[in-house]
Amino acid sequence: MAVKQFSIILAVTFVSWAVSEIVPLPVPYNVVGFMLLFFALLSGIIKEQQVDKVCDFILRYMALFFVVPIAGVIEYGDLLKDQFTEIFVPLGVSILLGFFAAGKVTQFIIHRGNRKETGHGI
Amino acid sequence: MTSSVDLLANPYAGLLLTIGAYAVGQVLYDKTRWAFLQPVLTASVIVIVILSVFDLSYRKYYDQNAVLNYILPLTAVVLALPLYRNRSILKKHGAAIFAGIIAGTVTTMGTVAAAGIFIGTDFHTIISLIPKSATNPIAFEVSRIIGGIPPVTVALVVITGVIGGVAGPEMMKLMGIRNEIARGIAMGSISHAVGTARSLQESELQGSMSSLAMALAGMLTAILAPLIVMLL
Repeated sequence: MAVKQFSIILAVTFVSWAVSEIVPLPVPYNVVGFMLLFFALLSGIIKEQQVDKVCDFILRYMALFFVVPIAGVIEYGDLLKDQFTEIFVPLGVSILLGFFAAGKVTQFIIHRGNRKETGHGI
Repeated sequence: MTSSVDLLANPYAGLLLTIGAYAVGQVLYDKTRWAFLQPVLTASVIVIVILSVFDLSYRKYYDQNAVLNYILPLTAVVLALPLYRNRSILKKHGAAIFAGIIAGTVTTMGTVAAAGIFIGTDFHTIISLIPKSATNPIAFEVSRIIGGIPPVTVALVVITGVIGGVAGPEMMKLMGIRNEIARGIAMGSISHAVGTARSLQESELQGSMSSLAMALAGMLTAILAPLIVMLL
């Protein structure tokens, strides 16, 4: 069961790789795979029960897979130390404002939609 | 420290270190429930400290974690499932979601360049900073295309992910962003996969919104980054 589910994920990933080799897209093939699997689920080509066990397993431990690449920052320790302010000031400012813009715009439009729907403010 | 014992001489030591460090991080988080003490952050710090103290090679450590690195690209693919489970939300709030992703991506790219110019950051560093909110495989390519330093971008992408993933939910609480959809969209737009991993812990809805935002913000970054560089 798990092997079958894992094979489906691998097959989707392989097809995505093939697609991105043929069509030049501005995204890596695993992001193409994300969209491909989503549309396969929407259209019913792949059923939720055919991939849920493996997907939920990987999703549950997702943060663990990022420990190794995060620790890779160790290789740029000197550069980050030498340009500390020059890097972290723009980085901090842009993260803060990015969160504000994305969050507020999304929330504003959702709330406006809700008001229209119910006829009064929530 | 070349005379000391090489702890990575055993081929399983690297993987053991990663999982062990993550377990320590998880226990610490469960005990304290302190939002900033994310297991992924604690684990990464433990790994960095151990590699530094025992003078171990990061390359060797990386290679010994081949099993995890093999699954890593698939984490983006499997995120399609939570998005599918929340498809009705996407259908209902599509306009808000897309507007939020565009606003976040344009704002974060524009302000990182503007702030960098304002305080006199090295030009190549500014260019390397521009794709920092995109997921790493995208950011690496974008950095190369726009004339940045790709390995530096990779490090900056990771740092952006960690800052947003650890502090994002708290920042949004202070900003009054309480809607679960909006929170997920912001996490994914600014802090890509690391933010998505954190969002998944908050709720499946937030995680699925974050994964969608990560994918679209990545694409948007690839399209807009060359235009922003042209304006500099």
